Amino acid sequence: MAPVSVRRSERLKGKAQSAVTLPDDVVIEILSWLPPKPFFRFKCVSKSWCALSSVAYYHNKHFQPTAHGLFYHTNERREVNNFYYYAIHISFVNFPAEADKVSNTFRVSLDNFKLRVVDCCNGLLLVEGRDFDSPHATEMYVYNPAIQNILTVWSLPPKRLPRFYEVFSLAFEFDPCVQSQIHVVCFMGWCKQEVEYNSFSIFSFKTGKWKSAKKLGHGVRIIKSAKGIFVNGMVHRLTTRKEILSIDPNRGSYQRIQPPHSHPASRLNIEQCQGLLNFLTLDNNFELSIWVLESIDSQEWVLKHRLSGKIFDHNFVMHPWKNILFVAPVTTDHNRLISVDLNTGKEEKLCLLSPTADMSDYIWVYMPYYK
Amino acid sequence: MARSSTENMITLMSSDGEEFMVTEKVARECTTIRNMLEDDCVITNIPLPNVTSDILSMVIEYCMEHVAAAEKAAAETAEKGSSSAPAAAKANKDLEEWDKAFMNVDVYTLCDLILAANYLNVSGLLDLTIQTAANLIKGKSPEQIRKTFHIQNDLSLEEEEKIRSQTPWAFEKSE
Repeated sequence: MAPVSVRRSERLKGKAQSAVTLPDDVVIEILSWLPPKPFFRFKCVSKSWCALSSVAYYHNKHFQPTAHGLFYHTNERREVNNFYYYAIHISFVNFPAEADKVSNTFRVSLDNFKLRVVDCCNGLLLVEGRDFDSPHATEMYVYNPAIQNILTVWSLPPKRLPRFYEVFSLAFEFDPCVQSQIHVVCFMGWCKQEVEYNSFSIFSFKTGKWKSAKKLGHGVRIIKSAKGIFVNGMVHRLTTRKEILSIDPNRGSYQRIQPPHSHPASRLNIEQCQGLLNFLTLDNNFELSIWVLESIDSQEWVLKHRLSGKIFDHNFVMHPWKNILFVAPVTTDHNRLISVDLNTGKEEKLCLLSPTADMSDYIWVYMPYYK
Repeated sequence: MARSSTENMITLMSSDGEEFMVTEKVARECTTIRNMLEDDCVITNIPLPNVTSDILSMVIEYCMEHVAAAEKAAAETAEKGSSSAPAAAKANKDLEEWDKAFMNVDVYTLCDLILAANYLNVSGLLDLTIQTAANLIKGKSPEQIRKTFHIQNDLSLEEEEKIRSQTPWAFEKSE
């Protein structure tokens, strides 16, 4: 340990005169205990505190990748001048176990906006806002609930994009050493008998511009009603041929990943867990298989879990960090969220969702991101 | 501070030459001293050139209290065969209360305690003091932190502005 100047006798005479030199590891320890706000505020104390904060970042429990809760939509019947309509709201439920670990990180109500979550990626939400007076005018926001900040707003349809049908995916890559990158991938299609999403364009927050649209190969179409999954810097979407499309938002290039097997499944899903792409299949006997893509180059899938039970017929999402599956009931009769430990198959009742929860819609696991 | 003559006594000497007689059990709460004793079991006099007498007396007070609490809990368990949960919870709460009262010190004493706990490697005291320090400084501004710890602001205006602009939400007034 570095020698320390401690002048106790002086201190006892006049405390204002005293000087304390804290060794680096003690400063790191103190920074590791601070909540997010003072943590970032104290980066500008001095050069050494700023440098030490990048080490303390990894020790600070507030910045650990913890799932804090789930986002979901609710449908509420509203009445305005004898005219009924259904209002969609974004709701959030805090996991009870995580709530006392880090409290008060989610304090914002999005109720003031007429917003809908389009995608959720690494703590950021991509939300679509609709004006009730002019329903065709949409706006897109990238919102960080942890710091209650709307990062960027733009109106849609953007002038340079043609007025096609569109679906979006958010790609948010963060690396404390490198400048964070946010991209929005927009898939576009047009209507023949049904809408075919066969081209995409990428919006970069760095340049503030859309890259020119790129057409997917012959016969490659993405499924509109499937989630985008961001893993290893790539946006993944299921295609109508049950392949996975993997798009590099930086380069604007794409490749196709073959699914692990071609057995008939009643439902297919892709998810992200522990930084790897997971492929979930549910067969007609409610048997759920979870495959993990070990290597993207060799396209090698490994069967990791196989579980069965009628419970999997519901809406589910994987924990981004642990081997846990969250299952949300489709019916609103018993709207209690259930977690399933994928290693043991043990089910646990978590928390109640709103009685008006729309469980046919997506649910998103939320891990706060500060910066 | 001598207790029973059957226990091994260790003399700890502070930087200003004051001697403290403690039982080996209390001294062993400091991992640094425990390692010394394990390396050389006949050692009875340990000079601690980095710790002043007033801080060392506080560290010893903390170690004695925690050793006594652990001994009391062990004795109760041995007496009844098993520890009763409510009694254990109360003992824990009492010790927490004691810790809380013990941490009622000014920021300079606290920093000295952190340094001593760090040097002597008393993990319980280190956690307690660092958590207290974090709670004490979290409401302060960077300027107040520099004043408290006598830190020179070696950041240029541009550098400081750059750090502030990266996370403007952290500098907003409302907590």
